Amino acid sequence: MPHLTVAASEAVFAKTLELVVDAVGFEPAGSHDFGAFRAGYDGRLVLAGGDVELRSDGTIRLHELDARWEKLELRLVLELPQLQIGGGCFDGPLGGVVCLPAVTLFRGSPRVAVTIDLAPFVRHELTLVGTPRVDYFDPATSPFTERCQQVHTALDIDDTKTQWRVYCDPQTIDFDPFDLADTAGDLLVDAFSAAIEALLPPGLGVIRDAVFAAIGSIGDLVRTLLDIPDDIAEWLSDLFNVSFGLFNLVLQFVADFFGRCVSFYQLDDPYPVFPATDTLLAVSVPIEDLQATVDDLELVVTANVGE
Amino acid sequence: MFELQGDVVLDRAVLDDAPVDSTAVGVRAALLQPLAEVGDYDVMALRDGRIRVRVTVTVVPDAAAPQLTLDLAELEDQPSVAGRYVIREGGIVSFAVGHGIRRYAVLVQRASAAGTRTVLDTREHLPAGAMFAVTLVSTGGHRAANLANQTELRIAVDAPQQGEPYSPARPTVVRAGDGGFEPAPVQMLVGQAIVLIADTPARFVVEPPAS
Repeated sequence: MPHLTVAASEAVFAKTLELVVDAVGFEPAGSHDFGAFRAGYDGRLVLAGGDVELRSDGTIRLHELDARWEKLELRLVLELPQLQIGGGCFDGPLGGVVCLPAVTLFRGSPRVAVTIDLAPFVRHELTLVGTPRVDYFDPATSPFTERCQQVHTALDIDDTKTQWRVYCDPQTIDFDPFDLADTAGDLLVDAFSAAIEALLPPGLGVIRDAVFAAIGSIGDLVRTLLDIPDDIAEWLSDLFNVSFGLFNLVLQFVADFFGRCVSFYQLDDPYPVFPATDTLLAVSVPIEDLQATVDDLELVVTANVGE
Repeated sequence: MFELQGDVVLDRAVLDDAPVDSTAVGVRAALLQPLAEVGDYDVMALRDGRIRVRVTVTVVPDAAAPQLTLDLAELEDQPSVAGRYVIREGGIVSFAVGHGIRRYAVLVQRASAAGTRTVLDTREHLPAGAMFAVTLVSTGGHRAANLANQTELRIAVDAPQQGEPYSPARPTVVRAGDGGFEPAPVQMLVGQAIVLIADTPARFVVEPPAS
């Protein structure tokens, strides 16, 4: 029979989750070179809400966590096509096709960087099922990521002491992939329209109208420049899910966050029993063999007091 | 949100709606000359009376390229890109100016055992078969004329309407013979080019609407 038994109810877990999610701030950034253009992103993901369910199969279920982007900026840098007028081909007077050189409006490379914030268009829901994992924390030797350190600072967690820590180690994570609405694609087209309009100053007069008429649909131009087969919003979703790999990065972050960074229960080792007085030294006892189990009512932590 | 990067310079010369004359090729104009006979052609571009560009074009029966475009401004700025050009027998050389305000007269001569023969000298009349193309950059009633026979052509240039199919890369072709221009008058959209084909010796001018 263990010397020490501690039980934490679902309500305690829920309160801990509430504190923990408030401290979550995942700030991924990255870029990818597609040859014809370069794409990069800069985001900040936060969590909110969520419920805890302790289950009879020994697992902990965190569900209905809202994963919301406070910022999700997409930056595309590409060369716009040389804007031309005139040119074209006609049937030559002696047979064959004769082509005219077109008139180019600009010298140099009209490169444009377009930045759009897709945060309002993306919302995920997160559900996680995990099992209690006991870890022994030693400030001198335990690995600790910089991101995790920031979270600990935000939560005012004392990382100077050796401790037993109980994490919710994720076994499965359900996270909605990026699925951007058509309005996100419209935002991209609008940004490109503005860039091309800026490239064609009003002083161009009627030629400006002619160039716009020649371009036709800016949406088609964007699809051509970015080699998008059809649906811009679908392409944007694939960009984040696959090309940037942001979907997997978020999963990894969530797994690390709950499984290795923020514990739901911790116990100092050695555990203080009596504080020091004027005449007596402080008394503490070593904690050994800590174990954690879950049933549908509570998390039960047991341990022995060492010699 | 967007940010324009790179050095992009609008070529203001493109917007210069001044009259265009076939004696000198400028940025909105092009001169197209068929080279019917096999042999070497000495091609010169002159500006302010001096030869600025000189290249050789060789016409051979079985060359692949039926057409060659020479950007005279680029050739003057980067003489190293000039070389020996080859086109197919009966092919066409296009003389154009890719940027800037410079205008060039073009002289093409063919050397043979019988001596040197001038094929094209834009300072004089264009020979029959030559073509003069101009991209129109303003709306309204333009006028083209063949000063060699005092015939003229009215050109109505409209702005493209929103949503209307518009293809500026579809030149309007007009033949210029002894009896005048055919078809005439013509209606075009701004940004399109008009091609005047000389069926008789010609000196073309294309003028914008009177302001």
